[in-house]
Amino acid sequence: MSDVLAEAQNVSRTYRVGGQDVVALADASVRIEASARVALLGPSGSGKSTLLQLLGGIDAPTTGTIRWPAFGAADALRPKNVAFVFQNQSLLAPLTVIENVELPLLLEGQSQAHARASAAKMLETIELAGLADKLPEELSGGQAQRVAFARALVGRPPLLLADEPTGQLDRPTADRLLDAVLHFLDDSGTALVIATHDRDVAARMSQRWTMEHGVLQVAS
Amino acid sequence: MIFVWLRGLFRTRSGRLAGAIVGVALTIALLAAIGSFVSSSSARMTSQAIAGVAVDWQVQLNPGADPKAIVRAIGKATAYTSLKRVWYASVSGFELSQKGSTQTTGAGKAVGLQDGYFTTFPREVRRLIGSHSGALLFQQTAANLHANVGDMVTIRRVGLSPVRVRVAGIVAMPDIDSFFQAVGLPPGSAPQAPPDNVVLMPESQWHALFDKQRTVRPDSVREQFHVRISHRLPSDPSAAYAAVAGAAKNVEARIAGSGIIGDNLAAKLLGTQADALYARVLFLFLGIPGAVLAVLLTFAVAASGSVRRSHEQALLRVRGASTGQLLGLSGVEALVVALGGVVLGLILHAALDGGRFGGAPSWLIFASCIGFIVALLAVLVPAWQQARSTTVAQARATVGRAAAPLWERLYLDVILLIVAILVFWRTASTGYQVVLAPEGVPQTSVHYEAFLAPLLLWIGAGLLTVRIWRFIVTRGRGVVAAALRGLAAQLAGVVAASLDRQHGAVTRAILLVGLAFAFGVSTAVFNATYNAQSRVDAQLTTGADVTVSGLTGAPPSSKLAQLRAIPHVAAAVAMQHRYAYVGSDLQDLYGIDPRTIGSATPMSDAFFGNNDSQKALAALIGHRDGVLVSEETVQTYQLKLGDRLTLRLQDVRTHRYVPVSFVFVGVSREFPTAPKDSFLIANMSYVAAKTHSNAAEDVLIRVDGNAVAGVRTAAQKVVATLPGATVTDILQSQRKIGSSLTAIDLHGLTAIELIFAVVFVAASTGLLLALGFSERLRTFAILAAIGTKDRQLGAFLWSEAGLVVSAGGAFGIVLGFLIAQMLVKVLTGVFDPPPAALTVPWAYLGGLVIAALVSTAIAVSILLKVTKGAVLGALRGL
Repeated sequence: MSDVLAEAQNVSRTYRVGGQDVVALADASVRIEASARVALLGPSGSGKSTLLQLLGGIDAPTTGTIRWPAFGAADALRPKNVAFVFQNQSLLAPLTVIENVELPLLLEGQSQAHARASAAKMLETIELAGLADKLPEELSGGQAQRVAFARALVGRPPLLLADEPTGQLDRPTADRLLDAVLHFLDDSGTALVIATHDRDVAARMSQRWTMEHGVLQVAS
Repeated sequence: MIFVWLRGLFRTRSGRLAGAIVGVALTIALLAAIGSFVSSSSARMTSQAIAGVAVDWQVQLNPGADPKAIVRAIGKATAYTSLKRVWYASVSGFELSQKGSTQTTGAGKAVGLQDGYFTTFPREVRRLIGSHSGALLFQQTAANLHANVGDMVTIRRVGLSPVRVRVAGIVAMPDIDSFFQAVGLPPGSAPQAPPDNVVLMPESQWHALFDKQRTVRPDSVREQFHVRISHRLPSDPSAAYAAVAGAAKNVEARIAGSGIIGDNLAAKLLGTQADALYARVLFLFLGIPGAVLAVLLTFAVAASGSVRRSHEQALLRVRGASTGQLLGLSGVEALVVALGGVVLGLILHAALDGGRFGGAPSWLIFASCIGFIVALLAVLVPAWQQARSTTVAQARATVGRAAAPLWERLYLDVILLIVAILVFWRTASTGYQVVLAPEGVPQTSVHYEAFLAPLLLWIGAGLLTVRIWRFIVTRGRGVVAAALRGLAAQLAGVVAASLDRQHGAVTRAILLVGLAFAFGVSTAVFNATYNAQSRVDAQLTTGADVTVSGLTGAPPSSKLAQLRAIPHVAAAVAMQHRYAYVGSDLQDLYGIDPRTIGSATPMSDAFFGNNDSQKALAALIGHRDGVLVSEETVQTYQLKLGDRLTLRLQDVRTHRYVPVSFVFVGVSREFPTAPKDSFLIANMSYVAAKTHSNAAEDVLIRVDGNAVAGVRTAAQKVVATLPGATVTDILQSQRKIGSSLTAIDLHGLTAIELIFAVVFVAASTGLLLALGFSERLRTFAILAAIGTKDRQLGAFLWSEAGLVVSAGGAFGIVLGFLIAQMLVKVLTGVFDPPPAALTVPWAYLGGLVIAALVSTAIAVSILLKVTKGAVLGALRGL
């Protein structure tokens, strides 16, 4: 498998809003390698989410190209190779914690029994085993985000894209969550690109990309 | 703020608003259609009843009365349009001698008719052969005397010497019962049989022959005015009855004992009054469930936005909005739905009505008010409940582990079903009539408690369905997952879990789909059964699709081969129509071939006392001399099966009545062309042998397809040379018995209801699924973001839709048949004769299922497309 998980070359994304073209991302070129730790910094509306969605194959660029040398075609990305975590509560309300966590494995085609066992192990790993049968509405914000990470990582994807996952958490909760996640990532070798406003979070990453008005600046 | 809110509603909630508006519009349109139909059918019944009366009033003059004074009194009491004098004289009998033999009859009547009577009251006397000028013999009298046009018949006057008259023509008297009625008998008196022997003559001839009898035996002569009053009457049968009966009383008061009135028109309207009540009950039974369903759909559509609404309310409350302000904003939405619904409902009604039923302003206003109230309640009540009874946190909740509702814990569904069965059993087993209309009494009443059984069945079965599916979805998740495995593969367990947590919405959807199916199925099956019975009723009157009737001397059976050769004739069978004395009672006797009669006209089980047509006909086949007699005759003569019965039949060679021995083999209740009271059915071959004539006076014809009118015309040509032969068809009968309930054309209302049923089924499947799914667009966006493929997303949608449609459809079809069966039993009085089994309109039911599947497929396909397009937008909110 190639060490290059994703590579964007001169990528732009323009949206049509109210009859006008709005440039969300302009001529960005980046590369994500295996086990990378990237902080994507920038104010709200600067284009961070757009870049993550393009890198995750959820959206397609207006111009430029994105390749995933390690995974092949775009439809091979999710849920097996690329996982997402969002800022807001993104668990499926009708499903319990363990049902949410096993879902990506079932989507991959794994058997119910195998998926359930893997999900239970994942919950144990991030200390959520006691919440397995809870509904999302019965969880605190921190617990819900922890479950969201568990769901994203249960299939041990090579790349995790996180869009301000601690934005709505208090500092101690955010720190504890990040500790647990980074610990898991170190073990699994999963690369992380995390969009954040938080300089402390960014400080824990090895690379920092900065976005402003759709323009990306990459610094090591 | 309200303007901003309103603009937001139109921009972001247009689908939900449109759905609620359509729901209100359907409620209004359906109620208005029912109302229009009730009004127009009442008016139609009244006008047909009026048109069906040959003579409105028969004013009988008491001895010594001044005819001019009575005419003046009639003119003052009402605007009459025609008035003719009629004189009745009792005679001892008639006699005809020819070819060395003499035929005599018993007592009869000689009637004098004022000039112009036949054109003024054309329905009273129908010419069969000969002319209208001169002495006319009644058909049965002519048969008794074996008389023909030109013969000299002797009339034996009372108290005077006999006189002879030349027969100018032979006539039928279709309304002979009322023509010879005993005027002035109290209501409820036993009806008097009309005379078998009658001669009609012009007034001058009658006066020449019977004025002297009036002097000698004044008690043997009476005089009447036959009157047609103005038919500008109220359209409602009860009001029309009151107007006519009131005018008759007014005349009687004015003439102060000089005469009494036989009020045929009021009597006819009295019968129609009960039919009109039946019609109203029928329309309510069939229509109200549809209107209630439309209301439930409106509530369901409005409730489909409750998740978003509660989120919005929670946000507004967090920012300090009061309950009043929240209700104000919901009130704006309710007002939009109400006004939009009323306008669309009235447009829909006008489109569906097409002027067919005429306007019914009071019903339109009523329907609009109901629609307006429904709209307000559907939107405001949930908003008020959410604003008053939940916390902000609760308002944000969308799913949960709710406990069983109170009705479920109290087993209300089971209790309602048990009560429904008990009420139905009591209704069905006691011969209980929904509409009580004692003969001759103006007061009619409706047993509204008869509504109870179907009502409780609707509610009980609906609740039971909710209980069962709630149980299956929440407790039987494994079963549901296994059932969904084909659609959802590995995701079946997740889909089953999702259905479990949303059991409230899922069971509501199943219930609504089920009720929509039940409404469609019950209406369609009842309507099909009703129409089939209506045809049977018309066939009973006509005899078959087409019936040729004639005289023994020139029988239609002589043309049987030509009649069978007419194109589109599926079967033609001869049937004798003779007369036989049972004791002193002259009854109609039908000679049939029991092996072939069923090929030309349906032999319903209800025609026979044992409720088994095959066994009854087999009894005739097994006994060549067997006879089926009416219940009344069985009671009168204390007959037991196997008893010997001697009847007197006319020998066609000698024209004398001769004793013929029969064996009583069964009871006949009704038979094609037979009168309602007493008649006899025997083997044609036996009757032919004993009367020395195989002539059959009737030929019954079954027609292929819709060629009745064509066959009738062709048959008329075939029998044109037979004196006295007439041809009738089922279409004429259906028109003729138009004022009776089974002749009410339910097609208009049921066509509309069946269209509504399809719309309800489509709406309850497609629309509710679409609205429910749109509320969960965020869920689908999450699924897409974590890597759900299109086919996997489709599995979620198809599984839920499949469960809702199949479960709801199955429940609805079963309930629909139960309701239809119950309605047929409860409304037994509607049917004459009652149906042996339900008639199932398979094509329509197939269409209903297809409508459900197509609307579901469209809804799911659109949602899949919308979801794919909306994922990015939804992800921005994650």
